[in-house]
Amino acid sequence: MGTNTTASLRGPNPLTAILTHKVFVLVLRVFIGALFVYSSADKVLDPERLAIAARAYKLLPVSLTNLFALVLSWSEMLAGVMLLFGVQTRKAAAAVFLLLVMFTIAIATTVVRGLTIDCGCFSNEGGPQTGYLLILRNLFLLAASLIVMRFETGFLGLSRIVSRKAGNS
Amino acid sequence: MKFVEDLMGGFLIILAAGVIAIAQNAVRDDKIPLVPKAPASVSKKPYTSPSSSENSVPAPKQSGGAVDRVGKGATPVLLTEEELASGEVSRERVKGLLEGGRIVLIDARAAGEYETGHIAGAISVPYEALAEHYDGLMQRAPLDAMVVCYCRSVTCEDSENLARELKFMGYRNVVTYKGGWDEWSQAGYPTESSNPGE
Repeated sequence: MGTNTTASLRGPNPLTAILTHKVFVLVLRVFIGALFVYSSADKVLDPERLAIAARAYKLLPVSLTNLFALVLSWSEMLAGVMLLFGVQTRKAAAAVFLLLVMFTIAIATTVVRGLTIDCGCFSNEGGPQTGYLLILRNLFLLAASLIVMRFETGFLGLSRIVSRKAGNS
Repeated sequence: MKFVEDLMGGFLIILAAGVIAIAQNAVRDDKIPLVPKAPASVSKKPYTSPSSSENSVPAPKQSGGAVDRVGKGATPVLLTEEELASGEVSRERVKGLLEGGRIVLIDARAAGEYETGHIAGAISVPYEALAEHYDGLMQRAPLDAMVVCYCRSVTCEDSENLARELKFMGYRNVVTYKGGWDEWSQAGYPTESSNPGE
């Protein structure tokens, strides 16, 4: 009995074991990567629309919104592709984390200001409206990106596959 | 420490994306200016009335008091479910709603076309120059206003494009009048011009 108790105390917390499992981290990585690639595809093709959505937030000077839209759309795309293929995964997850922090703050300010606008999150055809649910969704994504940053092992990632092949040859 | 390093790496990825974005924008056919044209809100002309010839947006009041808003008090019940679903309204409906002063009618054509002649009571927000008119429009038309966009005729796309942008900006009740300027003017309905002497 005493031995079993000691063993269970030494064993990993089941939740931690799941959250840090390489397959779970892989699923999160691919999910976030695919989500960001999907959400940025239209924006990369037509950044003007994203600029309009950005102006609706009224957080940036109008003069900066076009540049912001260009950089944002490509940041989402680049970070998404890197996550999807497992290239510099922790850094890509960090980029996603930074972007999500910015999105969440921007959405929170609309809630505080009583603004209800299309969030501009996904395709250019509009998206969910800003509000508490979006903040909650972003918090989940933030947590997911943190898990990838912290526990990524390179499992089935391009970086690791390439480095292994280079090591073998 | 590793966390900070990763964040710095993430920041570098965003910077790299910025370089790619600017380079890609420079070579694309439909590139956007890095800095949008300055908002035309330098106009000090106050808004007077929907039938005024000073209807080009923006023209916010510059001092004291609330800014006049077109379409104020409009409610979503003005348009039928069918109209909102199809996103279109007929000429007669536009006429009736306009006479009641219950809608914001937006001319999506170029400013020059608007000045030559437009539907009486329409304001000018050229689709191609929406960025310039953005602030003025947001100041003058509440997001719950009934907005009707039109352009030249059934074959033009500016009204539909503008309607989509307005929805993106947060306007909830936006439809188009497909017949546009050609149909309206040929029917002999009220028009006006912004050019003196016309």
